[in-house]
Amino acid sequence: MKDKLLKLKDKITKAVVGASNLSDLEAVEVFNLGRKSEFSQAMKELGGLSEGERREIGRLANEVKQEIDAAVGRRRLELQRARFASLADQDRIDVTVPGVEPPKGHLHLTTQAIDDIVGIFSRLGFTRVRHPEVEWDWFTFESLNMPPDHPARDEWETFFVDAPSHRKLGKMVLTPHTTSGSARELKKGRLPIRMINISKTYRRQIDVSHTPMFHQFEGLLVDRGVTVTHLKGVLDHFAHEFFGPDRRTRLRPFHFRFTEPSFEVDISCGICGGTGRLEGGSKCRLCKEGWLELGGAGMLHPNVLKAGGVDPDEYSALAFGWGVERTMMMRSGIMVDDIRVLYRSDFRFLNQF
Amino acid sequence: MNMLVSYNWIREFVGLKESPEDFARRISLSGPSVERLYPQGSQFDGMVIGRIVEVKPHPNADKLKIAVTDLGTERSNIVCGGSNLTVDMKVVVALSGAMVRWHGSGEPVRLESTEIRGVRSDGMICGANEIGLEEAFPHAEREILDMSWCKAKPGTRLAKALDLDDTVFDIEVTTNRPDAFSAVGLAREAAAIFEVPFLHKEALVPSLAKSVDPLPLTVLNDELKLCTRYQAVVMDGIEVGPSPWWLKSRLHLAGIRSINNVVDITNYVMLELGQPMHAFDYDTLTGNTIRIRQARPKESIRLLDGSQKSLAASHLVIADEDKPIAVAGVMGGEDTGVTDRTKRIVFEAATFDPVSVRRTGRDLDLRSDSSLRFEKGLPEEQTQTALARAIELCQKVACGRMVSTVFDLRSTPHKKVKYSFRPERAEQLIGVKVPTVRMVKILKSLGFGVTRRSPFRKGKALYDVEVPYWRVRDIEGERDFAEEIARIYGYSNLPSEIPNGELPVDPVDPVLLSEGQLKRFFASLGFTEILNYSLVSSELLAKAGYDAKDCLRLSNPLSSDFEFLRPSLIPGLLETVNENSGLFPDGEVFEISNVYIKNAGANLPDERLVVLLAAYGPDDDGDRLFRRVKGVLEAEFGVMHRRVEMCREVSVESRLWNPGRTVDLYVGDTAIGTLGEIHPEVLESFGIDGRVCTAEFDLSVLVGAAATETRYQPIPLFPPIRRDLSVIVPEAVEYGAVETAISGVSDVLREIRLFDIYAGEGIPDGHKSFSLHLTFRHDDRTLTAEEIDGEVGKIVKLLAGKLQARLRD
Repeated sequence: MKDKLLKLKDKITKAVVGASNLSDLEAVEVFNLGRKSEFSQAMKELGGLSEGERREIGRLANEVKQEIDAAVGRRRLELQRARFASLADQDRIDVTVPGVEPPKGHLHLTTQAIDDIVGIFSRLGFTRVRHPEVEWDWFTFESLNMPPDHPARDEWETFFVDAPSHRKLGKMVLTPHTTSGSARELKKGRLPIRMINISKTYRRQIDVSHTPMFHQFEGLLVDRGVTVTHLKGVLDHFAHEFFGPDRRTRLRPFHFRFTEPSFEVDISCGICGGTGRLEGGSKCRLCKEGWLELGGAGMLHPNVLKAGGVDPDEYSALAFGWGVERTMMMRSGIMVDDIRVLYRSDFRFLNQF
Repeated sequence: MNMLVSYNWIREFVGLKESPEDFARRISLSGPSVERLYPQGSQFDGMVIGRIVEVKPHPNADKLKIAVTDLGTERSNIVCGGSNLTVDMKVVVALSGAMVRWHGSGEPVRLESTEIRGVRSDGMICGANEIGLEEAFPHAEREILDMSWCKAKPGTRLAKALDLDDTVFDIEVTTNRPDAFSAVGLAREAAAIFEVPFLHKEALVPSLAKSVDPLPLTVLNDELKLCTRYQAVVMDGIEVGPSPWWLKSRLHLAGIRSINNVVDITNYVMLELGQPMHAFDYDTLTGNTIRIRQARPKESIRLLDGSQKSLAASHLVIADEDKPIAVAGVMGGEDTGVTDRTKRIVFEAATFDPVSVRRTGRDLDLRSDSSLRFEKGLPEEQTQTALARAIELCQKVACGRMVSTVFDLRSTPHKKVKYSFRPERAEQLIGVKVPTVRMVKILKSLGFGVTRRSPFRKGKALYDVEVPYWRVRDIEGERDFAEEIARIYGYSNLPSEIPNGELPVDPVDPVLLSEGQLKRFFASLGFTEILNYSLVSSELLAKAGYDAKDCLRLSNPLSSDFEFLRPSLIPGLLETVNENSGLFPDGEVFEISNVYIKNAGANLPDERLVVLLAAYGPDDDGDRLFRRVKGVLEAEFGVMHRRVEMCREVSVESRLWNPGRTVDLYVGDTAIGTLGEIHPEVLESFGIDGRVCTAEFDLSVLVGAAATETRYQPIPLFPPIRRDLSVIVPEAVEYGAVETAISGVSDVLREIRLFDIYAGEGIPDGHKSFSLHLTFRHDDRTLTAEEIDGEVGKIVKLLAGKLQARLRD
């Protein structure tokens, strides 16, 4: 019996070691250790032995079983390793074949800029709104401290609509700036206000740097205790987020009828680093002495607050706004030499972005 | 508005030591903005003033001389061929290294000391054309530039001798500040910003000498509203001729051409003080009269620029007894202008109404340096000092004598303008503490009169501030004082703070949100966003079957291409397809923009935010294009949780749509738009081959509609079972009929999905096959194969009955 077990052990171990793959090994296991195997048979025979023998043979049988199991385990590991060892060859594909191209759509450059702008200001609590593009003179000029015949109106090359004038609100125009939306926003009578109005605007101009239709964004913050320092804070936030943390801004005094004080916001030139000089000493052609004009800003004029029904003794307001396209062009990287290409819907242009 | 102005000119009136660069940087932060700097004089490097001490003959050439020249620290021998060379003459000597133009032609070359016909020459005595000064100093051929008029000592650098150690600034002055649009105005700004003394003294009109027999002149002002002040004076003994160098040079640096000394004086005064002036030839004035009046019917005038202008009653003119002699504030007439023969002149300094000048200039298509200034509004108080300065200069450079009193016609006497000022209000606006003494000092430095008012109001300071005459038009109240203080204090000195107030509760407009989401959705599916102009031509509208009469029209369009506000995005789309289809035979695009629906009467149009989705391609691609657009549209409505019905359009007769391939989109009972193919006739009129399938609908109506409810469905416990079914139906049977017929037949049929439509081999003529995935599932148990066979059997039988369908083998 003892011999028999030891012989079986040798035989089975040999078979296990001889298994050449995992399914072979499994077959060996089933054949030699399964219910109908010689080994199981031998174990059944244990019952017929005397108690002393049974204890001794039983222990031996256990050892044999464990050794065989161990051999199976080792062999399985070896075989598994062997299988994955050759995976690199057996399962190889041509990884240099190009990827399957997903359909490629494009957002318009202007939309991308608007998305960025909205995102930047929303972090300061500004909510996007939209107001009419076809607007009354009153909202466009008069409520903005520009009475009829004021020469400041000339600065906006305004389109007029061939339609009857409103008894109180005057002529119908295509709004030349988003500031008209600020007048409407004030009229809503909900305070405080933090809004960003982005809309199509129109001026009678067409050349390499002007299209008769373009986009402006206008920020308005009305609250108690708003000061010039807050305006600086908001503009700096925008400049750093939109153009990069290394760009600097400056406020220069300017003049708009609807703000007082008024500013022109400049940003340091990205091409010459704000020095006005290129490497090698020649003059930077993009900027003016190191600065680029971003747009206008200011503290809303008390008359404008009054026209909107807001008490200027209690509330003050900061406002800023300028062209989306220009701002986008000034972000380094996108240099479009003729702005009209934006609205020509030429796929060779649109597909680049 | 921009002006060119020399730094030296500004510095005449203000004690400034800053370099031009520092000046430009600092003044831009608090006042007018310096946009460009143009350093002057570098072309004269290496040139000095010399004095001829002795002229000796050249041993080897008759026409050449040897000029012994005093250069201050040394004497040099210079070979020179100048025909006008004399002892004691001051000349320009170019030393080696200077850039000169030989005989005034060709590119400048670097001068080196050399031998000329065997005699060494330590430099060159220059003609004006050799150093680029021929316009300022014309002279004959072979003559050298005679600098004897110049006070500079021998050895002085030429740039310094010519007062060209200078920088010209291109300065932008805002339109509300015409007072700063002058050398003196800029000096005043600089004095306040740099906290240095302002040195300008206003000239005074001399009194008429008793000995003078005054020349007669009558000045009449019919239009006191449009000409609020008119001053004039007669000058005799005028010698018209070229201006002296300093006068020419200043004008040249400011970009103004020198004409003659009298005209140059008027321009000089304008640039220095900001007050436009004019000079008439006294002897050309009929009746020795100057009359400010409206132009009369059919009057016309030939102007100094040579143009002939017909005038209208709305135009303000200066006239003599019988004809206009100037368009007020815009330009003078040619016939009464100053010429070489002029002996007596009338100087005019006046104040004209800005709106009138602007309109007249616009009507006559004329702009001038004068109208540019008048349009901004000038103070009446300024004419006197300008006239005084002109008289002073005229005496100095044109031998003029004053031979009349100063005529002065004005509408109202000067009134002082005062506002009260509360320093704490300024502080509240600026956002930082500024000491009151500092505020007062700033206001005073700009020329404001500041007095403290008592008694004190609740312990807070209150001031009266008097506005100087040159700021009366732009200062409108207390708020302006705060601005003046803030800018001079320096915005760059203020901290930058994020606003800390309360955030408004203001949900984003859901239409704007959807617009953004849809744009990204379409782009991610391969569609390219286009943005076309809102303004279109009537031709474009007509090609797409729209009547321009129904659209909003501009009364002042740029051109007929941009005349109407578009009522639909489709005309623009078709133009885009036409322009791109040559290089891109198929494409997928979208646009989300407003369209404008005209309302009757004095009402703004409806601005509707419209979504346009389109795919175009070759003629044989029609089915795919339609299903592509429809598929994206359905997915979009799904994403937005809106239920949109599509109904084959039958009701509306439209030229735009292909009737066999078009459906209307409905939310409930509201039509929101259309999905379909553009009519081939319209495509033809655009020149498009192939097909264009598009959907256009009103986004705000869709967003406004109720969202479909999203409810949690428990995850099924029992598996679904799928069967594929292909049925052959007559060609005319539409898929919708199949789906409608099947749905509801079986309680356990959960989904019907079409995966193939086929006609051709194996299918009888006039028929086609639909292949469907059918998904069955029972909530409470696993379905058996037999049960499903039964359900499929029912379906097949039903289709056979209703649609003459039969199973495909």
